[in-house]
Amino acid sequence: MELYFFLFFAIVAVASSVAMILQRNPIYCVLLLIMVMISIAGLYLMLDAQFVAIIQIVVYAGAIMVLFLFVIMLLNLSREEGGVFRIQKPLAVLLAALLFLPVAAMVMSYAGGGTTPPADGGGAGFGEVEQIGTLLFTKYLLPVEIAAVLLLIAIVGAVVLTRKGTVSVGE
Amino acid sequence: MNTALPVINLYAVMPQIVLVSAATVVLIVGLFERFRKGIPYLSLLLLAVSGVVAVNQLGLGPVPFSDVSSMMVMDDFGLVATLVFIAGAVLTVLISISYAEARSIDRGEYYALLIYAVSGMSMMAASTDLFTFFLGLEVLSISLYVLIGFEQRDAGSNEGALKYFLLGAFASGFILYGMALLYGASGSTEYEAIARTLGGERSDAVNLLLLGGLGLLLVGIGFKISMVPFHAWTPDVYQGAPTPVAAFLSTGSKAAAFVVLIRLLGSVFPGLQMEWIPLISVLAVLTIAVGNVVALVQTNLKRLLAYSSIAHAGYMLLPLMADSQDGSASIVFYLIVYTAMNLGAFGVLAVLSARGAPCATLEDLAGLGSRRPLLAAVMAVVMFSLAGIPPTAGFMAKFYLFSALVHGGYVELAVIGLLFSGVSLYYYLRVVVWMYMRPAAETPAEAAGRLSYTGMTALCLSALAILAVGVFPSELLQLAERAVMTLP
Amino acid sequence: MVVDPMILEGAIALVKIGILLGVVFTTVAYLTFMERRVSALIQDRLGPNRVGPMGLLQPLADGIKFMWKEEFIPASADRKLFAIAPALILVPALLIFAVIPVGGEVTIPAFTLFGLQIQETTTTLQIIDLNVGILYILGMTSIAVYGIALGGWSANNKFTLLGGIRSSAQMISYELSLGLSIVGILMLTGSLQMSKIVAAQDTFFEWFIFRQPLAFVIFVIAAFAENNRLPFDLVECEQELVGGYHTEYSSMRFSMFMISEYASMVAASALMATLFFGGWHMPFEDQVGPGLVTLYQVAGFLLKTGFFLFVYIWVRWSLPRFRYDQLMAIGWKVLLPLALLNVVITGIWMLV
Repeated sequence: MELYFFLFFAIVAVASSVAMILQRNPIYCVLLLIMVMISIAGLYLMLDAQFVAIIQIVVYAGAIMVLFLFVIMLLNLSREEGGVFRIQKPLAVLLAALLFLPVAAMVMSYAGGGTTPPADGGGAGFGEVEQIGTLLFTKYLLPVEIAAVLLLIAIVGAVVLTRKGTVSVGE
Repeated sequence: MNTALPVINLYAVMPQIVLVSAATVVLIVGLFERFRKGIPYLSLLLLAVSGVVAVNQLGLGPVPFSDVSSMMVMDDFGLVATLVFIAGAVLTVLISISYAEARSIDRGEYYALLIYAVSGMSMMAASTDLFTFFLGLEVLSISLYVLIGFEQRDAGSNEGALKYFLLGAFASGFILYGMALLYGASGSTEYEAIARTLGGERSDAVNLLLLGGLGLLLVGIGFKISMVPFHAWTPDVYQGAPTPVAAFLSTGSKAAAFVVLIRLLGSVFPGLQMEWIPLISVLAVLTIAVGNVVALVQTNLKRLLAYSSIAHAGYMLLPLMADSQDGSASIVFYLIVYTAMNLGAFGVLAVLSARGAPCATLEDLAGLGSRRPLLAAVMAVVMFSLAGIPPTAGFMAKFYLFSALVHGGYVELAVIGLLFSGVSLYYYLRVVVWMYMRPAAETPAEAAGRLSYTGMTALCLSALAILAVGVFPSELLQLAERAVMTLP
Repeated sequence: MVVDPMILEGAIALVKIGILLGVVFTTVAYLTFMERRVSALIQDRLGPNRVGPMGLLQPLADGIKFMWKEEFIPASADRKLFAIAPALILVPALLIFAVIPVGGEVTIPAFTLFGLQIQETTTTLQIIDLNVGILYILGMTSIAVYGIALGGWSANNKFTLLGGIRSSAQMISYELSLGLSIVGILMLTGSLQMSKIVAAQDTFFEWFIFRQPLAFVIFVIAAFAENNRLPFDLVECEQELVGGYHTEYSSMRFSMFMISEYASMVAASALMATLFFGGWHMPFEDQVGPGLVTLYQVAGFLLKTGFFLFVYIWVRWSLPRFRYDQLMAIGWKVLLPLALLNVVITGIWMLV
C-alpha cells in the first residue's frame, strides 16, 4: 500500500517537473510546478512529517506560486522565445547529472545496508508540530531570530525599491 | 509541555545584537523627516558603540552561544573580522554623506541597510553552523541587493541590482544544495560535526557527498568573492551601484566571504585537502591573471577597480593553500589593508561625484593633481598601495602573503602572483599619470566649490592608515595573528 | 464472517464522507434558495414561492435548468484551463470539511449485514482528525485562489482577468489576517488539532467567543473577504466587471462556481461555530439523556452553522460594497495590526 502511494507521488512529481521544463507556456509551467509541490507534500506526509507537508502546501502552493501566477498574468507573458540558451542546455543536463551523482551514491549505500547518519530528534512524535516548536525554541533559537531580522530587511528592501519618487506627502 | 530551555549566552552574540539594534534604531529615526541630516551621524555613533562592544570582548575567547548547539561562537577571529567590517562601514558612511545628499538617496533606510549588512557579515564571521552562516549571508546579500538598486531613477543602478540579485540568488541556491549534501553526509549542519565526519572513516558515498557539498559551497562563496569563473558580474555591478555602495560591496562583502572561507577550509575541510588544494590553486591563478590582464584595458575607473578587486581576491586565495596560521593571518592582514585601500579609491570617486557629474573615467581625473592636490595625493597613495609599492601597507600585505606562501612550499604560486602584481603596476600607475601629467581638456563640474569635509576626513584617515601600517606593520600583524590563534 | 477492523475503518470513513458530501450539497442547494427568500424578506418582496410547497423545490428546478443550458466556451479561451478552473475551486472548498468535527464519539453496536458480522466500533463524527488541522484548513483556502485566478485568466476577457487578479490579491491579503486571528486560539489550546480545540471549549463560558472576542471579529471579516462575499465582492462586482471571473462561464461550469462559493460559505460558518462557539459542545449537555446527547450536540452544531449562514446573507443584502483601495487598506492597515495585537494580548494574558 505504502509503496503504491510512494510510486504515485514520485511519478507525479517527476513527470510534472519534467513537463514543467519542457512546457513553453508560463502559466502551465506554474501549474505544473504546483503539482510538483503538492506531490512532494504527499511524500512528506508519507514520512510522517505532517507539519512540513502542510507548510509546503501553504507556503509554496498557497503563497509563492500565487505570486508567480499573479505576475505572469499581470505581465501577460506568452510563450517563451526559444533558441537563446543553445549551448547552456546540454551543459545544464550535464551539471544536473553531476549533482545527482552524490545523492544517488548515498541512496545506493543505504540500500546496501550502510550506516545511517543520525537525524535531529527522530523517534516518538517525529514530525509533529510540538516537536518542531520545541526544536525551534531550543536548538534553533538563534537561526529563528536571525530569520526574523532577515524578513524585516526584506520588507524594508521591498518598500524602498518600489516606492515612487523620494517622498510622498499625504494622500 | 515542559521543555528544558537551553542555557544561552547572549553575551556571545552581543556585537551582532548591538548591530541589529543599531540598524533598527536608525531605521525608525529615519522615518522622521526632521532628523534627516542627523541620520549619518547617528549611524556613525551607533557603529562606534558596536565597535566598542566588540573591542571589549576581544580575548575573552571562545564562548559558544548555547549549550545545546553552538550556532555562533564569540572568538577573537570573529571579533576582529567584525571590527574590520565596522571600520569599513564607518568609512562608507563618511564618504556616503555628500554623495547621498547630491543624489537625494540620503534616507534612513540607506544607512539602516548598511548597518544591517554589517550585522550579516558579522553573523557570517561568528558562525559555527551552516545554518547561521547561510542566514548571515542572506542578511548581507538582501541588504546589498537593495543598496545597489537604491538610485531608483538611475538605469545603471537598477541594472546592477538586478544582475547581482539574479546571480546572487543563484549562488545562494548552490550554497544551499551544497549544505544539503554536507548534511546528508554528516547528519548535522554544525562545522564541528562535519569536521568529525571528515576525520572518521568514510565510505565512498559519504566521500562523494562531502566532495559535492564542498564543491557547491565553493561555487557559492566564489561568486561572493568574485573568483574566476564566477566573476562576470563584478564590473557591471560596481559600475552601476552608487559609488559608496560599490566601495562597501568590494570590501565588506568580499571580506566576509573570505572570513568564512578561512573558517571552513581551515577548520572543517582539512581532511579533503588533497582535493581542494589543486582546485583552488588553479582558480586562484586564473583569478589573478584575468583580473590583472583585463584591468589593463579599462578606461572606466569603477570597472578598473572592479577588475583590480578580482585580482586581489586571487591573491588572497593563495595562502589558503599554505594551510598554516601564518597563511590565515596574512589573509586577515591583507583583508584589513585591502579594506582601507579600496574604500580610499572608491571614496575619491564618490567625493568627486558628489559635485555635479559623476566621476567615472580616466579623463575625468586629468589635471586633478593641480586642481585638488590633497585628493590627488590620497588617490596616489591608494594606487601605490594597491600596486604594492613600499612604503605603503599594500606592500607589507603582499610581503606577508607571499612569504607565508613560500614557507608553505608553494614557491611557484608566489612567483606567478608576483609576476602579475608587476603587470598591475601599469594600470595603477596610469591613474597617477593621468592625475598629475595630463591637463584637463575642459574644466569639469566638480572644480568649483569645496568638497565634503566628512568625505575628506575619511579619505585622509585611510591614506594615513595605509602609510602608517606600511611603516609600522607589526601591531596590525599581531592583531591578525591573535585572531587566527583562536581557530581550531 | 467477521469483518477485518482495517476494512471496517475504511468503510466507516467512506460512509462518513458520503453522508457529509450529501449534507453539504443539500445545504448548498437550499442555501441558494434561502438567499433568495431572505433577500426578498429584507427587500420586502416575496421571493420564489411557486415551485413546490413554499417554493421548496426551487433549487431542483435551478439545477435542472443549469444542466440543460448550452455549455459555451469562448473561441479565444485556453480550453484546458477553462475546463478545470471550476474544479480547482470546488475541490479545496469541499476538502475543508474533512477536518471539521460535527460531533463527539459515537458507538456503533455490533450487527450482522448480508452475513457479515460487524463488531462494535467507536468512531468520531469527523472524517480525519489531523494533527495539523488548522494549518490544513489554511492550506486549502490558500489553494482556492487558483480556481478564481485561472478561471479569470483562461477566458481571455479583460473583465474576467481583472476579476481574477483582484481576487488573488484580495485573498492573499486576507489570508494573513485569517491565519493570524486564529493564533490566539492556538496559543490557548496548545494544539492545531480540531478535536482539541473543540475539547478546550467544553463548558459554555470557555467558548472562545468569550475569551477571544477580537479574534472572532477579525476572523469573520477576513472570512467574508476570503469568500468574496459582499461587502468584499469586488471580484465579481456587476457594475464594474460585468460578472467578474465567471463572466464567460455558463451551464454546469457556472453552477460549479456557485456551488463552490456556497460550499466555502458553509465551511466558513462551520469553522466559526467550531473555533469560537464551542463546536459541537452545547450548554446543558449533562441534562440531556445519554441516548440523545449526540443528537443534541450535532443539532446544536448545525444550528450554529445555520445561524452564521444566515448572517452571511443578512450582511450581503444590508451593506454596500467597498472600494478597492479601501479593501486593501482595511486588510493591511487595520485587520493585520489588530490580529497581531490580539496575539500580543493573548500572550500577556497567558503569562499573567
